[in-house]
Parts: sequence; structure tokens; C-alpha cells
Amino acid sequence: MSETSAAAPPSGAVAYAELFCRSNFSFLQGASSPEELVSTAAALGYQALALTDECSVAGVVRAHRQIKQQQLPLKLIIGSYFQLPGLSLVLLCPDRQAYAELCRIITNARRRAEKGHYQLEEWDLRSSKHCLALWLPQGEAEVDQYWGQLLSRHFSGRLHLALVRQLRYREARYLAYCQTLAHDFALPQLAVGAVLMHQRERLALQQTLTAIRLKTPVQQLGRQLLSNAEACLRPLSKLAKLYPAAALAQSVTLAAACQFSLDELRYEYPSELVPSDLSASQYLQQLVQAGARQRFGTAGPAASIQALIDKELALIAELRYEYFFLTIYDLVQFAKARGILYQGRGSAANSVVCYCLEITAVDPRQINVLFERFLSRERQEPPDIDVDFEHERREEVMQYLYQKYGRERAALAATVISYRLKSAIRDVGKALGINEMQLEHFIKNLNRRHDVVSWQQQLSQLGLNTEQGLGQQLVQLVEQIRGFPRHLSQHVGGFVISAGPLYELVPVENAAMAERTVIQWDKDDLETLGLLKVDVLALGMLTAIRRCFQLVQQHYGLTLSIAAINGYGDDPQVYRQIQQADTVGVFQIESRAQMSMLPRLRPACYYDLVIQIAIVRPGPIQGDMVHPYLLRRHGLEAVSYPSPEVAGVLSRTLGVPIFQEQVIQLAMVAAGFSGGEADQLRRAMASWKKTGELLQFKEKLINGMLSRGYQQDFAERIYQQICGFGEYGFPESHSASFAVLAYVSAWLKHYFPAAFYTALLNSYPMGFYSPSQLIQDAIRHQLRVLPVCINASAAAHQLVLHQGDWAIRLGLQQVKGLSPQTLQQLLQQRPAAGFCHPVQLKQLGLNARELAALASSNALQSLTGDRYNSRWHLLDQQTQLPLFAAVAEPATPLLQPPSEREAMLEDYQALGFSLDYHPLHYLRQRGKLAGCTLASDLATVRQQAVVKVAGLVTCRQCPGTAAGVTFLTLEDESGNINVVVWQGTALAQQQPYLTAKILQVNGILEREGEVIHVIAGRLTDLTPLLEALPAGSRDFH
Amino acid sequence: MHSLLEQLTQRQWLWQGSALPAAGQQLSSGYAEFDRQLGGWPASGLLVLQSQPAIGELRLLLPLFKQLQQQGLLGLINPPQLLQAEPLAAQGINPSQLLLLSGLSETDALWAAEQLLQSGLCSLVLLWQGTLARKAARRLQLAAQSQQALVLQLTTHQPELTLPLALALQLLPQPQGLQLKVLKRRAGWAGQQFYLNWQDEWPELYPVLTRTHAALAETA
Amino acid sequence: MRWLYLYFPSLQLDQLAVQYPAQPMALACPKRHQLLGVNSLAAAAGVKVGQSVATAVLLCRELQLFSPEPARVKQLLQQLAERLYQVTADLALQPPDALQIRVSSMLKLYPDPARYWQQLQLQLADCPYQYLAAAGQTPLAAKLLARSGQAELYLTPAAEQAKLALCPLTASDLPAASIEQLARLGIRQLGPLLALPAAELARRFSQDVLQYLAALTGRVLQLPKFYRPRLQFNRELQLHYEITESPQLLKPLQPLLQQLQQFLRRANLLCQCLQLTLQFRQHSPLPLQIRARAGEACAANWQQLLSLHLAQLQLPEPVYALQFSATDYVPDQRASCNLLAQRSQPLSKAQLLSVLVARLGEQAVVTPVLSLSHWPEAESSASAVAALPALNAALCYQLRPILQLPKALPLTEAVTLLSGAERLEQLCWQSGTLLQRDYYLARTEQGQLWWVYRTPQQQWYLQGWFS
Repeated sequence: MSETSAAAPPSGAVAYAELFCRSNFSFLQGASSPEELVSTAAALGYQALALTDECSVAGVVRAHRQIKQQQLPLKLIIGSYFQLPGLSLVLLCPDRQAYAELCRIITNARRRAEKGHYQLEEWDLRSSKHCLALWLPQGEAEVDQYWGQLLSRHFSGRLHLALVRQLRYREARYLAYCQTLAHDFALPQLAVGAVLMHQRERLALQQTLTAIRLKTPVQQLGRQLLSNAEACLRPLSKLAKLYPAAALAQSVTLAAACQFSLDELRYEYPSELVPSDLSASQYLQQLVQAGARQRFGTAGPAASIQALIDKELALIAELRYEYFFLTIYDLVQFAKARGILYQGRGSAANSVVCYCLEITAVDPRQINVLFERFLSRERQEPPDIDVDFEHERREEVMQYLYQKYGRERAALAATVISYRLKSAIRDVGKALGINEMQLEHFIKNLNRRHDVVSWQQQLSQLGLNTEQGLGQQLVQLVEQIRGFPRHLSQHVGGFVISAGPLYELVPVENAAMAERTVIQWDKDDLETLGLLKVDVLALGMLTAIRRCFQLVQQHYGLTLSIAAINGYGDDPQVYRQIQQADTVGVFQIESRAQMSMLPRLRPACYYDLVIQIAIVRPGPIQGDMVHPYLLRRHGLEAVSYPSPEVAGVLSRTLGVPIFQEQVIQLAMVAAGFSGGEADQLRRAMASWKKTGELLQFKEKLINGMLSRGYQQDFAERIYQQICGFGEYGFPESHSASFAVLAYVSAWLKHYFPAAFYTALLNSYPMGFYSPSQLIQDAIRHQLRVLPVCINASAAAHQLVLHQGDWAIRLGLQQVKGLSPQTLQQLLQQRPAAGFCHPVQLKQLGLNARELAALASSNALQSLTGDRYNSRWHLLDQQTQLPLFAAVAEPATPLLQPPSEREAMLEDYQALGFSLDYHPLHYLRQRGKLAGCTLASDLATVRQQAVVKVAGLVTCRQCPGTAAGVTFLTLEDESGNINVVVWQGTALAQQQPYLTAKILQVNGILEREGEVIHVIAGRLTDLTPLLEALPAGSRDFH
Repeated sequence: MHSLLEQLTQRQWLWQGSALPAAGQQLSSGYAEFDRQLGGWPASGLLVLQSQPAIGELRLLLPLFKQLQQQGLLGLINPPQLLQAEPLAAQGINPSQLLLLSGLSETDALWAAEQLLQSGLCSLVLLWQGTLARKAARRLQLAAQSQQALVLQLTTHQPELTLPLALALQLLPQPQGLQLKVLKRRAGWAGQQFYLNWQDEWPELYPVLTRTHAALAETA
Repeated sequence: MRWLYLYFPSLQLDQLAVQYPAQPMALACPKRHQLLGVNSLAAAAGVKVGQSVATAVLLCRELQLFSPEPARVKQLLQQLAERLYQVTADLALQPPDALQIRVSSMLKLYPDPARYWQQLQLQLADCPYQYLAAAGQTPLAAKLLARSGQAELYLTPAAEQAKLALCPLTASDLPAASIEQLARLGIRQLGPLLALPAAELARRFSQDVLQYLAALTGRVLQLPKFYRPRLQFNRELQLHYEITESPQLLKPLQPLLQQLQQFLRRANLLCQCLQLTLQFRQHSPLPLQIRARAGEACAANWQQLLSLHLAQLQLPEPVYALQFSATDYVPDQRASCNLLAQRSQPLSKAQLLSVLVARLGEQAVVTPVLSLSHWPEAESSASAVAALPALNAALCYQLRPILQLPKALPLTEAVTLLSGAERLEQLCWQSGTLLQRDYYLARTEQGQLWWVYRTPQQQWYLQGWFS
């Protein structure tokens, strides 16, 4: 960044640089964001601003980005504030070594204490050779003498005494004392503002933050609050009056001495990946060639593909990103060696090099590879590549990274957890002393996604007077505090790896989880500074697929792999099953919205699947694009392209833009954007809801198109569709990778259903459905599901041969309340012939609670016949005496066996589902559901007919997109019924709509091809018929 | 004859030599110059301080308060403005030892003073009161004597010197501190005059005009 | 019918219904945000016990929520017991919401149980509380019948056994763990439980299950602790001659004070408050309240306080009679006083204060309390006797005026400033307005030291005296 040639201060006005200023990254202290601070400092005509948060540099990159984007005439100085008993100190970084030193000091201080705290030692001060120091005396003689001597010995020539003037109690005496101290230690005096906010109006917020920090209402804090609002960025004229001129001038000279800027940070990749005799690009070339031969057959890739490879390799060499690919290649090879299923996605999926390096599994020939999306000269940062691993084995991969590069060179990127609406209302409300029950009441009844009524109006409807008094204060403060950082937590999987020690580059601190470390910058900061981040993410479906492969290998003797299944090409039987929306458990296309779309779109090949996954994202629905694509697919609307270039881009989606890549191509082809500009448009689309950057691209886009002869309405429609994308527009590369997994899981469900369901059940919790619904679906596919049994079951769910057919034997892990250790102990000590009397279990030393769990899950059925008897025996203390161990008198049945109803209720309580009875089947047998049509019979009912249905409410969903509509799923013994409830019906019948577990719906049947909905009219709550049915439903997910 | 003597003492017209406490028994005032000049405050009896408000008349008594708070409560009757506990607490006076009676009529104030003294719980009663009748002064003097306590009257008027006072002082403000004139003193001569320098004890209130002070006098 | 059990399911809600008629109301537990009790109107709107507060409010917009107050319920039960004590003798309190009465002893007075029950109903009629009454051979049987809603009074023993067999175990006094264990065995009512052989039960369940069954079936008799009325001292006095001057009232009151003193000495209590009501011919009776802060027993001290009170009193008319009652009793732990103090210690601080308050009034006597706040006007004086936090002199500001004006006065005199500005800003959290003042130390021509401040509008005010 060029040296700020600050205009010479106009005659009379004083020059000043603020060297002690804390942002809201000093959690619950600073009341303004780094961006606000630098903008105000520049507006006030300061020469420079030092951002010195407490033992942290988390906010400096945001300040740096603000200065660059707004071209502010202000120099940013990096520093940090520290506190020790009796000492307040600010360290500033004049140069790169000082910056590395500061990062090391912060890292050591943070690593000594647990998350959110730090512990500075005198040793750290002794070891500092380059940093400049500002000392703020405490005001007590002997403490200041001790620190004065120590600091002047270690920071000789680099130490300044900071004068703070905030018009506080007996300040004249404190200043005179500081001046004598400066005289005694021969230190230059320097004016600082000890800034906590960028303008006076933030006093109320700052005091609220103090109240939150001290956990006492603000009215009782008295002297612990700031006595006035002088701790803000003050105009130069005022500072000239308050501070001696020499001290003000000293601040400018010190600021001039600090030349370090964040742009100097260069990234050094880990070097040990490349064999010593080869250069990085040669090694990469070698690997790519080997990969290409393996992927495209020994003859090597076709000419066009080879050209693309060379083009990519040339650009990679030019931008010096070889190490980036080698790092990921090494990671992926490790996973392959360990048999951990993985899959690369993100912009890399557009690159042939990645396909050759086996990072991604998407064959470039199948999708239209967009090179700009992968790498572009204008964008100065590396491509972002995410690699998904099995969610149970991801920890192995992360530990591998820690071992290979060492804890100093590998750490997780940070995520800044900031105040959202509900946490803001709770904290600010408590700080203002509003009583807690009322606060909880407000928070519970606030519907965040309600776009018609703002949250402020909702609060006043709930009884808070938001016009004056505390209510008004609450609303204003919550509005200000939203977005403020609360603490740093770890990014889900973003790893930062460096050649040298990481803490030379950015401070590292402890994460909440044991032996995990986090850097102080988040992924946006890394992107701003062009630093590398590798995303190591977890995907549940990969675990399920691997388990299924193992079961198939074990029982059917067939070895399968993702690549192999893809290799078999599009299998019509599998696609027919997908078209019938029989996709419970299939990756990405099992949700309600997908199931209702599948019969309409009727995907028949891999690329249809790619479109299917992308099309149901909220993005396209908002841009009202779903229907045109369907219309064109079934030939109901002519496929037209305004120009040949547009045809090239949109032909594969019948002229309707669905993917983000298509929008980028359109911008380039139709509106003349360059590759880099197009990608900025992409990033603007991703965050336009928050920052509104998209607006500036609007005229550019539309004028670009008009100048190339497109009509106004076509340009407008494209712009609208782009805004629609803003929310969740899905990149084609991601959707392509997901489509691979979706097809593999559908294939497995078709050919090996028993193994598929067993694998899914063993990988729970995962996916959209609960075990109960998965088992219902299995039974509907004519699969035998055998109950949990103390003698026959293993720990996990098993695939067993039962009467000549494959069946699922439920495992003992399904029993709620049975600890894993007891499970293992039970299995080891199980006699070969199995247990014959409950008393043997007691001798194994299981505690009462676990015995009760076993009894209530009816696992002991083979021993005692039913639950009550097994509990009756287990309760008997008598037999524990060794004397009676031998005598086991016959179990005379004293108790009546449980009725059907009680057995079913106990099943649901203990296992979460019941194999033998379905509540609806039980009620129907007793004639309670007269006139209700079964789910399976709905197909025979004619369109628009009045119908009465009933079922267990398993899912309530009101997607933000469809205004006011709620989708209910009712499950009866024959299948699922989709019910649509308009807002009016819901509001009129709150009680059944909200709380019913078993619901009867009178409504009108609507059919659209294969898709059947019941539009709800009258809702009646049947739950009282089956009291204490605990089956939970996934509400408002 | 015996009954006549008894009647006279009963009407307090008789003054017995033996009833006079030893002049030497006195409380340190906390200020060196004051102790040098007067030997400290009398241990008990009625005293009068004539002074304008807000010139340091209470700050003069703070060390005395601090001493007497160990022996009993400090009664403050009819202060002209709201009494603040914080500056007193800053000098080490425990607010729970203070008993503040405000807004009383003259008769009530005297009755309250007498009650406080007779209760034996108060070691000092400070009374803001313009003038004191002879009979009231005599009763207060006797009550204080019997309970070894001090009664202080703060007034802006000229005190009536014929009253049975253990000590009467007049306080005048000075840029460096306070000027004291002795108006009447038991077993001592009146007319004595001396100064207390408070510049190092209260530097902000009695500033020594120096360079830094001038620079800061200019206000925002 | 040997035992009667009166069950009041919603004491607090019924009492609230008197204050807020025709309102849907519910009791909610503040911590768990769950409903504990629901009145009939709320139940009609679908609100049920155990529901979360959020769902309840959604179902019924105008629902009024109250938090349970066990102390108030206990007091209501106490009053009920006092009212019923007029009619029946062996009465036992069953907190939190029931009364148990031994009827057999009363049958001597009321040969016909129906007449006796009618008397009880008379007393309960003018209380606003719903109740459920049941009778049984043993106290626990009556309780179980009442709690499970079987409000039968005149049952033959055989019919009673049949009804008991159907009662759900959840309404019994069995420990919750045992009830749950029995439920898991399919035993949810009393009948099947009684049917099981005692030996098998002994091997499986804890002792208190067997004890409860024994007490229920009458094999063992447990007598509850019966109710004793509270201690009272009140007298009526008809004066021989009408008294016009209030101080003369002391004469007739002396003997009453003596009796009070004996009464208190016997009960080893101190009384804190005397209620005196003077009766006049035309004028309405004049109530007087004399309080002794730390409790008083000896007649002389009461007399002194009485005389102080009566000294101020003007009688509108001659008094012909008066009621005298003593309330607020406190156990008498004699404060230890050191014998060495050379001063006589006739009075304790509390007694001195009550004397002063008796004459000067409550608001004149104050012990100042520390409240460390930036803002001068934050009120610092407190009620007469206030508990003090530990005194931390270091935290207190020394440079503050000892005497401060209740309301700052505009500055009229010319003053010289002695110090730089100390800026104080106060945000009023209610109104949201921000006040800013720059405080200075100043000296007037006459040498007075004042604490003055300037507002942003350049007006000057006097705040306090550095006296």
C-alpha cells in the first residue's frame, strides 16, 4: 500500500495518530467495529490508527480491507494491548520481525490459558526485541517503579509513556504523576485516546457490553461504568486543547516509524512434499500424466482434453500454486491408503488436473468444464477446494495433518460467532434488568423468518412497549449489537498449513475442543490476504456407502467402489425407481420438496440428476424458474435462445439458467464481463442479502446486454434470476459431485436394499429420516426386520439369513440407556447357547438402570415371554444371594401380559418405533378411524375429491420460500401422506396444527402426475385416543 | 441549711470546684498546629464554632469524628444541606456510626440532642443551630458532662460567651487553609489566633499556584 | 365415616379469581416455563397443565400468568383451618392444599353425620375456594378417595373397599419411584397391588410401600398432628368517665400494660406493635399504632413510648371506650451487653431509635448509606436502619462535597475555578436522554469552596459545599 502522503496539516490544526484503540474484537469491551473505527479516524483527519485489541489481532484484516476498498487516506498500524497485575501495556509493530514477534507473544499468552483468556508472563516481555511499547502507568508508586525499571531495561529506546486524558476524577494529579515518572525514567511522553468507540452515541452500547460482561444489570453497576463518553475518536481541535502539543507531535513521529503493512505477508507452502531431485511443477506434471493414463485409458486423453491439461498446468506454474495441489494430492492419497472414502468438490471440480490427480470423481467429459471458475489471472487468490471425508473417520485425517506438519504449522481457521437476533435480545434484555420469564416468552414467540412483520413489531405485539422506556432502549441496542463478535470458534474443517511456524504469520489460540488449535483469522481474512485454506469436511453419506460396500463384500462376495458403479453407466431400473420418488435414504434427493419434484422432472441420466439436485434449492424457486424448465422438458413450451452465444451456455438446461456457472458465462458472453469481473459477480451473488453489493453490477449487466442487442425484458429477467440465485444458487461443480453419490446410493438401494438399510441405520444420526421411518420404508419394501434379542443380536444392526431371505436383525445399540461398555461386556460374556434366565444377567453385574432398559425394549422376550414378566424377575432381590443361586424355581406368571396398546407404547418409548404394531393400524382395528382413506389407496381417489385421512405427524416444514404454507407429513401403516396447510387454516386451528401427534385431516385431494397432496380443510387432534405416545416429529426444521 | 445547698445544686446555681474535670484531659485534633496551640479538643462538655458554611468547618472536625466513632455513635442534627456519606467514608468514618436527624424544629432538636446524650450511646452530638438559650445550654453541658460526651454547636452568629462553654472558636477562610480565633476557653485566655495550612492535605482545594496548574486551568 | 378429607385443588387460582374475575389464568413455574395449574376458563381454550408457556400463550392470547406463591397458599390454608375450628375440633393441616378431620369424636355432638356435614358446608360456603370432600375408615383411605376424585361421603365399608380398588396409584402417597416400577409391571390401580402376596412384595419393593398399605387398610393407625390456635392478647376497656385530654389516657392503660408484661414473660416473647383503637360517640373510631423496633416486654418502656405518642394526639371528641391488642410477637433473646462500659447502658440502639421515631416521625431519623455512583443526584440516604456492605474506604472519592444541595441552584456569584474539568455523563435508562455536566472546584470572593458544574448550553450551577 503506498505510503500515505497525508496532506501537510493545515496551519494551526494539529497532526495526530491514535495509537491505542480497541474494536469489538476485544470481546464485550470495544463498542465499534474495525471498519467503523478506520472510517471515522480517516474522516477526522488522523494520520494513522493503531488497532490494538486485547491480546488479539483478529480485527486487523477487516480494518485493512476497509482501507483498501474505500481508499482511505489513513495508515493502519498493527498492535495489541496486554494486561498484567499492575501493568497495562500496548505493543506496536514497526516491521515484519516485530509483527512475527507480536504473533508469537500472543500465541504463547493464549496457549497458556484456556479459550477466551490469556496469561502474559514477564518472560514474553524480555524476549521482545523489535516491538515498540506504550506504557500506561497504574497510578500507584511502588507498582509503577517496579514495572518502569523492568520495561526500560528490556525496551530501552523503544518505550514511551502514554498520557490518557478523559476528564476523569482527579485527572490533573494523575497527569502530574505521569509526567514526573516520564522524567524519572527519561521516557518520551505520547498522547493516546484509549479509544473504545468511534462516536459518542455508542456510550449506551458500551455500558450494556460492560453489564453483559459483569453479568449484573446496568442500573446496579455504579462506578464500574465509564463516567463519560470521552473514550471515543475525538476531533483534532479538542485533542489540541486537552493534550500538551509535544505529546501530540510524538504520536505522529512514532506512527511514521511504523512501516509494516499486512500486504507484506507472503505465503510459504510446506516444502517436504516434493522429492528433492524434481522441481514442484515437474513433479506435478509427472503425477498428472500418470493420472491421465489411468483415468483415460493407457492411450492417454483425447487431444482436446490434453490441451486443457496443458493450459491448466501452465497457469498453475505461472501463479505458483503447484504446492497447493500437491498438498491436497498427498491428503487424498493418505485417505485412499487408509480406505477412507473421500470426494473433492468446489471450483476444483471444473479442473481436469484434479480429475487426473484423483482429487475429484467428476469426469470432465460429462459436464461442461468452465476454466474461469477454476483459476483466473485477475483473481489474486488460490482456488478453494473442499474435500469431503466419511464423517466418522474425518478425525483420522485431521490428526494425520497435525502429525505430518506438526502443531505449529497446521491449525484450523477461525469462525467468528457473532450476536444473532435471539442471543442479542436475551443478553441485552438481561443487562437492562428486564425479568427473565418475560424475555424467554418474547424469544420463544419470535418468528425470525417472518418477512411481513419486522421483529420490532412482533415484540410490541407480544407486549413490550417499544416506543419509550426500557423497551425502546432494548430495541435500539439490539439493533446495534447484532453482528458484534462474541467469541472465536473453529471453522468446520478449514485447515491452514504453512512451511515455517504458523505463529510467525498469524497468532494461534486454543479451541474449545481438547488439543485443537485455531488461528485468529477467519476464512474471509485468509481470502483477503491470499493465504491458502484446505477444507476437510465430513459427509455422513460416505460412511453409509462404505458400510454398505463392506456388508455386500461380506455377504454377497462382491467388491464395489464409487468409480466402479459410475462406470456401469445409467441403469434404467435404478432411474425408474428414482422417478417414482422411492428415494427414502438416497443422498440429496430424499427431502419432501425433492420427492414432489422427482416424478415431474423424471431424471433419466446422470446429467438430469445434476439438474435435479440444483433445481430444488430455494434459489431457483424464488427466481420462478422451476416451472419454465419443466414446461420445456415436457415440450409444453418452445425452447428459444435470443442468440447463438446464449444457446451455447444454456443449451444443456434447455435455455433456463440454473447453475451459478451459467450466470457467470452469461455475464461474460452476453454482457461482456471479463473472467475476473464475472467471478466478483459470483461472490457478490453469494452475499448480496447481507451487503447488497449486487446492485452496482445491475446497470453494468443490463447495459452490457442492451449494447449487444438483447431486449430489455430478457436482461431484466436474467437480473431477477441472478438475485434469486443470491440465496442458494448452486454451483454446477458441487451438484455434479453430489449427483455421483446420489446415483451410487440409489443404485445400492435398488440392488442391495437389505444391506443399504442396515448401513443407513448403523450410520444414524444422518440424513432426513428417523430410524422409525427408515424401518417403515424397509418393511414396505418387503424386507423382514427382526426385533432386538438378547441372544441373537450383536451390538450394531446385522444382515442375517432368515428363512432363506436376507433380513435385518436390529442391534442392541438401538436400546436407549444401554452404555457401550456394558454392551461389549454383555456380548463377551454371552454363553454360546445364549442366556436362559434373566437372573444370569444380574450375575453379570449390570446395574438396575441398564437391566430396566433391556427389559423395556423387550430384548428378553425369548427368556420371559413379555416385558412385565422380565421386569418382575429382574426386580427380585432375593436371587442375588449366592445361597439361592442354584435354585431357579419356575417363573409362575403372576401378572397378566401387557395389552397390545401397552406393548406398542412401550416399544415407542424404549426403541422409538414398533415393529409389530403401527398406532394407526391399532386405531383402525378398533374402528376409531371410520372413513379415513389409507395412504396407499389415495392413488385411486379422483382429482379434487373430498377425502379424510389420518396419520402420525412425522414432519412439519414451512420453507422460507413458499409464503405461509406448511407441509405436513402424516405416516400411517401403509405409507406417507403429504398435506398442505395454508396459513389461514393453520391460524384458525392453532391447537391441532401445533400440538397434535396423531392428526385427522378433512381436505381436497390434488394430483399432479404422480404427485398427490391433500389441501387441509378441518384438522382434528386424535392424540387423546393414544395418550403418552412419545413419537417426536421433526418440526420447523 | 443542708436543704438550701441541695436546692441550689438542684437549680444548678452552685458551681463546685471539685466538679471541674482536670484541664489536662483533651482529645487530639489531628492537626499539629491546633494541638500545639490548644492542646486538642476538650474531652467533654459544650463547644461552639462560629463559621460561614463551606470553608472547611466540617473537614476540621473529621479527625475528631474518626476518633470518637470507636466510643459511640455520632449524632448530627439539622445539617443545612444533604449530608453525603461518601467523603466521610473516604476519611475512614463508618457511616453506620452516624445518626442523621434532619428537618427538626428548635425544641425538637434540643430534645433529640438531650435524648442522644442521655442514651449513653453517643460520644458526640453536632448541632447546627443559630442561638442557644442559657437553660438549654446548661442542660446540654450537664448531660455531656455526665456521659463523658461532646456537644458541638455550629452557628454563623456571634456566640453568647456567658454560656457555660468548654471552648468557643471563630473560623475564617484563608487561601492556604483556615484561620482560628479563640473566643472563650475554660481555664485559658481568649483572643488567641492561629492558622492551619491545608495545602498538602487538600492540594486541589488550596492549590499552590505552579506551572502545570496554569497549563491545565484552560478547560475544554 | 370415621375420617373426612377436604381437598382444595386450586387455592391460589381461586383467590386470584376474586381479584381478576372472568380471566383465563394459569400458574407457571418461572424456571421450567411449564404450567402447574390452570383455571376453568383457560382449560376451555385448550391450555393444559404441563404445557410450555409458549404454546399456552399461542393457544390463548389473553392468558394471565402468575408464579406460584407457597407462602400465600399456606396462609390461606391457615385461615381456612381457623374458620373451620369454630365448628369442629380434631382438625389437622395437610399442606399444601388439604385438611383432615377426625369425625368420630364429633359424632357425639352431632348424632346425624349429615347435620355435621351441613355445618361444615356452611362455613365453607362463603370462601371462594373449590373443594372436594371424601370420607373413609382411615385417614389415608379418605385421602386416596378425595385425591382420585371419588367425592363420596356416606359409603358402607364394603362399597368403600370396592371404590378404593379402582383408585389410580398415582393419587396415592407411594414414593414416585415405586409407582413407576409398579406401572412398568402393569399395576396401575390399588386393587391388583393389594391382590399380590405380601411376601413377594417384600422381596421386591422398599419398606415404605408396605407401611403405606398397612396404614391404608387400617392395620396400623397413624394420627396426624392436630391444629392449635395461635397466641392472642387483646382487651376491651369501658372507661368509667369520658376522657378529653389524650395524656390522661395513660392512667387507665397502665393495668393493661402490666397484664401484657406478664403475658409476654410467661410466653417468653417480645411484642413489636400495640394496636390501640379509641371509640367516640359520633366520630368514627381512631386506630393508633405504636411500634417498638426491636420488640418490647416491660411495661415502663411501653408507657414511655405511649406517652410520646399521646403527647402529639388531639382528640376530636371525648373517648368512652378503647380496644387494646398486641401483635407481631418475636422470641426474646436478651441482647448481651458488656458490663464494663463505664457509662450506664440503659438503652440499646434499637430502643433509642424507636424513642426518636416515636416523637420525630419515621422520615426524620436516618442512617446514611453508601451508594457509589458517578452521578451526584443518585439518592444516598436510606431508611432508618439499613444493613451496610463492608466499608471499603479506598473506593470512596475523597474530593466530594460533604454537604450537597438537594437540587442544584443556578450560579449567581462570580467564582474563580481551582481545577480542570471532570466530565460526568449520565444516560437515563428509562427515557434514553443523555445528560452531560463538566464539574469544577471553585472559590467565591468570601473564600467559600463550592462544587459547580457547567452544562453543554454553557449554564453554570452550584451543586455542593466543600464544608
